[in-house]
Amino acid sequence: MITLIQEIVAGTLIVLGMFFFLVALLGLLRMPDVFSRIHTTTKGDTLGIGLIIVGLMVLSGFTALSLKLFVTLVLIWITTPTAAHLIAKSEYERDAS
Amino acid sequence: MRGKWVVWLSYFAVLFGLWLILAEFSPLSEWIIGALASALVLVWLRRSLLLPRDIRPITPRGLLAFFPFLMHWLKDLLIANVEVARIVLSKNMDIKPDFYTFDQPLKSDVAQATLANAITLTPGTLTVDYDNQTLIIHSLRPHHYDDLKSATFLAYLKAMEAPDA
Repeated sequence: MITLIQEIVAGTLIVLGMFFFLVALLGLLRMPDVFSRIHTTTKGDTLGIGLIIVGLMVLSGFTALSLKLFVTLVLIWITTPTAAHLIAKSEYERDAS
Repeated sequence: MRGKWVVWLSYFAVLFGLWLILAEFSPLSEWIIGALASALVLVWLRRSLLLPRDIRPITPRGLLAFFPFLMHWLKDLLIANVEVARIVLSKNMDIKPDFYTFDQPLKSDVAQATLANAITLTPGTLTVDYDNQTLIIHSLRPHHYDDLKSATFLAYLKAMEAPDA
């Protein structure tokens, strides 16, 4: 019974995460300039990967694997905006010059 | 020089802890390799890591302010995603991208970096550049910038940084 609930919750989270990834991809294609494109990809990726990883954590339960997934999530959440800053800053400087 | 050793030891503890989590706490040989690897990374990065003089001590109140900050930030992250998803999926994307400046009140490097990252992950705003106390922000719609000025997580960041204020 527990595993069924686990699987339903995990499946829902993973599908939702994939939806946000899809939105990020669509935004990347539809947005008019570099900055607006960064908007969609950073946010979509962050929540998308967050939901997928939380879904996987639900699936694996209280194990060392879950802890590992959590560490992955934290690292991704720190690095995604940092990478976005770098892209935005270089584009901004290219624009100004 | 006692403070210096505490800082290096805590860096080591963080790296070693990460290693242990990734190695799933077994077997013992992994622990030794992990300790060596953490020490090597510290030696390698000894010039670029934050030194004791740049770090303000974390106070209990600062630590307490971190959790409401995290909660508000997570809420903003969710709203940001739904809003950006609605913009992307709408038929004629009604956006008016523009640059704004934002005078931020924080002083320490760590708090400023946290703020810049938090801004990037909240509705319709993106940190582009940084100049003294001013952040240059790109906003999808003008009201996103107005929302930012009244964002709740800023107050928590201030509390984390200046516990005596």
